[in-house]
Amino acid sequence: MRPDDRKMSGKAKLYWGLILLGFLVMEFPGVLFFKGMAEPYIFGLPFIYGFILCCWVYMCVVIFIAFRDNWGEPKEVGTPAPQKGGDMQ
Amino acid sequence: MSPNAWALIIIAFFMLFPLAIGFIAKGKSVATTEDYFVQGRGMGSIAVFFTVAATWWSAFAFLGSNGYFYTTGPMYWTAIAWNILFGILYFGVGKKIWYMGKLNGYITPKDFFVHQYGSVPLGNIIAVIMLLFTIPYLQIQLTGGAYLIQVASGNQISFALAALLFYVVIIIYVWAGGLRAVAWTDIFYGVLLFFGMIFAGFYIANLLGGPAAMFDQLGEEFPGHRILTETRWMNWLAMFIITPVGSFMGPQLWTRMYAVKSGKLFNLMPFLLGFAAVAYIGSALTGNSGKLLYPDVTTLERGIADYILPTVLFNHAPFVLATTLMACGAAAAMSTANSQIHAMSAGYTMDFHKAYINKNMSERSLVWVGRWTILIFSAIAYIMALYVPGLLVTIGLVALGGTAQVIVPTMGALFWKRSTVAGAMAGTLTGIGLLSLFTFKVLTPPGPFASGGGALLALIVNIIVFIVVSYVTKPRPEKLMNELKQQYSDFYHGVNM
Repeated sequence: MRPDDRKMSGKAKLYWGLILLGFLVMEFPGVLFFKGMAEPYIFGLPFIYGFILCCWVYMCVVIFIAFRDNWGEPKEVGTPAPQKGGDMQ
Repeated sequence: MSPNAWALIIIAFFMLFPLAIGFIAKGKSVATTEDYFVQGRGMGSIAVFFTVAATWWSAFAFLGSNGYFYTTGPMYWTAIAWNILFGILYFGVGKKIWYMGKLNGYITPKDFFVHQYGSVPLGNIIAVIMLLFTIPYLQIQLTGGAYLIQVASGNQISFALAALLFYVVIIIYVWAGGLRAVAWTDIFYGVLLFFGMIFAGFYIANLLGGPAAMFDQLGEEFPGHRILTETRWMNWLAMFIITPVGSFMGPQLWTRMYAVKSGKLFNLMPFLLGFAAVAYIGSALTGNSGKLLYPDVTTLERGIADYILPTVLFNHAPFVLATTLMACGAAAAMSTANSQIHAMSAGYTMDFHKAYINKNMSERSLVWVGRWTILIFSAIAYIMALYVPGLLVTIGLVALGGTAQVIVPTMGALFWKRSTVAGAMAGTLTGIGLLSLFTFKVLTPPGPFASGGGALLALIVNIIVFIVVSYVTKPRPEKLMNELKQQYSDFYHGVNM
């Protein structure tokens, strides 16, 4: 339930769109195209293994960039809550 | 020293080490329900990552994944995507649940639903679903873990005794240290699990000349084992959705959202959890190598595909190495089982005992009820492990299919103002009902859903019923909506983050 004065930014939409694209390729409808493909081998792995591994690299890169950019949202500048003593930092 | 003596020493170490951690954790405990069940909402970043990852990865991942690669080729490789989806859920949904939990003092999942929808009956339905469907998932941890201890000991310890030992250890440290003990031991388990999976896979593939040579050989001997069969794409898709969603909605993961100290950690979790998916390379190598080494499933331990890893290791690796890797697998099972027992204990104690049996109990007494509940749930799972057979992944998918239904009212509460109590109840009960009919084979899922998509179909029907019923029933009270609107506004503006 996002308030009207905090609409999702263009960058946030881009990151979520790129992540959605990755899932579409890895899962559905992507699976319909690669389900029966054993070749070509990628990195010595049958196609499905190598292809999904490439998609995994893509997703990790997109997610890491999104994280570095605070997922396209403005930095959280609100009042910090009083913290109780935590452990195992 | 004989190999069997070494095996017992290694197992003893793996049993005693978490006990020691548990007792150290006990020293920091305070006798309140908030401390015992959600660690006083003060869990730091290292503990959060490892306890979430280790709880998420279970016997399902360590043993079941190998068995699935062994029997169905690349089917389990969809796990790479579902690990990423799990991380995305933890950030996109989990962070909001954490924030609401912190603001409103939620301890159990039921607290969330009772407050967000203003309905105790809905909260009770969700709490019962979570308890019922977590027990089979707990059972597979016990089955997997006990079997690993049995084989790691060279059959000196029977399955029944191994299961008993497994649970006695968990009960002792969860009893003593609550969530803090569980989270700290999960750091130990998580490291073992991650490296154990990868190392075992490469070790076994190297028996066949390395990963590339192994896959070349697989192409020659079992060419069909490198692809998904024509109808199994639905299974690929259903597992991708049901596994992470079902696991994420398990009570043990709700606890791990409420307990987090800082919201910033949620932003990083998708990357950390997605990156950790690389460990499945180990499972893929183990399962496919196993197919070449032991093409006939009846030659495996017990004739069950789940046991391809112990079969290969104990026949092809030095005994001490095999025992150590088996202990890593037991760690995977233990790290999930401890969290499930702890979360179920919290659910019963706070949602039912405190709400209906003794409303005026002191905090200290409630913690004791939680401890005794741990014993009871453990006993149920122990009996099920001894008498209810089944493949780990098969049982696991039924359990996850049940908890996955809870995502619909959860997302409704967080993202859709028009969601209603009636919609949430109707959708969830329809989804659970349909899943039960598919599970007990009263109905067969139609069309492509027949290939492993029953739980996904139940989820889709759940969503449709939820939306339709919400549109035609009375919205949530205006007073409640105004209160929630302010809280969500604070979340998006980073207030008290």
